[in-house]
Amino acid sequence: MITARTQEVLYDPDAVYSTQYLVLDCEDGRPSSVSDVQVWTAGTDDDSTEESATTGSASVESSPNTTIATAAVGPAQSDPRAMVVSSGSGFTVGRRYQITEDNGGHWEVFECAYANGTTIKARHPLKNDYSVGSTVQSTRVTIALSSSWLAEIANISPHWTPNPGYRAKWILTVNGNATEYATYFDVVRYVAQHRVTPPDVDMVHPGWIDGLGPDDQVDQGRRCIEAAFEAVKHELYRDNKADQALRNAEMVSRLVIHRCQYDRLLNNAMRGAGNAEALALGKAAWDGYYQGVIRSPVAPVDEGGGGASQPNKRTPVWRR
Amino acid sequence: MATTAGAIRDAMLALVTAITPAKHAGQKFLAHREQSDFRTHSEKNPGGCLRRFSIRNLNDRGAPAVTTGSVEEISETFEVVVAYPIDGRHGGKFLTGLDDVISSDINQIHHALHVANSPAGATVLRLSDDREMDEQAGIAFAVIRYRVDYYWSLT
Repeated sequence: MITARTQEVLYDPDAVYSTQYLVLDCEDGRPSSVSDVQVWTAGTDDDSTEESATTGSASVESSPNTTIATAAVGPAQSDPRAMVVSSGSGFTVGRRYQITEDNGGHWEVFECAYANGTTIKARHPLKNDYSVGSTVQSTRVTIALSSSWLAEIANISPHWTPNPGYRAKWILTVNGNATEYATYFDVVRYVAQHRVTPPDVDMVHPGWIDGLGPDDQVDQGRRCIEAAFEAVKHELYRDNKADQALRNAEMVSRLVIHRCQYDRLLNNAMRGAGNAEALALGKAAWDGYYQGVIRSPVAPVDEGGGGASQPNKRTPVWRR
Repeated sequence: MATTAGAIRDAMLALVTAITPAKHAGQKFLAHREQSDFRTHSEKNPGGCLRRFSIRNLNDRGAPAVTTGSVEEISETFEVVVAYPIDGRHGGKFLTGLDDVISSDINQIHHALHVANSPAGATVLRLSDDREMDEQAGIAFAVIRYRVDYYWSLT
């Protein structure tokens, strides 16, 4: 998922879920401290009363916060994705971390594709060389959400809008400077999901798994599927529809599957591997299905926020 | 010992697949499934072609050097083609970094097929190696040709 995603937290009237957190992944580096976190509804000014959404204090994630051990890493090594760190604690496949050169200050963000003890592998080859002693750190800040606030039905985000229901303002110290960041989130009964696996895509579009790029083979293309799902969500936003309100998993899956193939063809075409006919066919498959289920009154949506659904409203012709 | 072009090709595929590359060690050679022409398939899908390779015999057998009437010694050209997307994953050197990766791979393939091992029943001799660049499609190919001498059965 992209760094600036709208987070979804679950409405929890029966206290079924363990503590939920608001999350900020700081793109500028590891914060040294957190001063404050404030939450408002989307339609409320900063001067108004805050929501009592959070509990306790925000904190910078304690690990990973380690260094490169054993040997230098980067393109000068035989495997420019591999690194051995002093402590493997806290590394999670799929999360992003920052590596910073000890003698020079250059840094980059990498996605963890493999973590086994102190052996870590980035999804993509590192662009720079890093010496032993260079830091590898999480840049995540979190704050717990109040269970009683999450239990109030009035706090469920409006389901009829694709825009987030809440904003959070984080005041941090990063690289010695006090800085503020904004994140956005929704309280939902159902998180937006796609339920698509790589074999699902390969069943509809044979050869899809075989054509995965080197950085996507490690997870069989699951990240490509997530990217396609985000593209589907943004198409829904353009039609003023909320992704979390769709109530037909089969339709959502099919949309994502067609989008996976279309994204593959589009990305190849943008690299110069021009196959205009294949690209047109992929676009037609995606467009046709989207028009047929989303812009026509077919896909069921939960407009009331109670969980039940009714047929979608037709998108006006002049907006198509 | 008589053998076939198919058995030699399959043995060469296994030898190349077993190589641990000296550069980008985590990205091993991956045999193309031959469901379509390799170059065309790679040009249409450059993002997924890094170190995918194809080995084909070119069926250019000439007159046999030796024949007993039931077994003949023949020579045939086998072509190894390896695909590489032209991108910036080779550090700051970009195209010259790609050149270095291709050179290293050709060296390792040649070592695997001729120096360290040869397919059973075959003598492998390198004829040529070349690099083909299609910058518009964003793809490069390493092309290595071998002359393979082997005995094939006529019965």
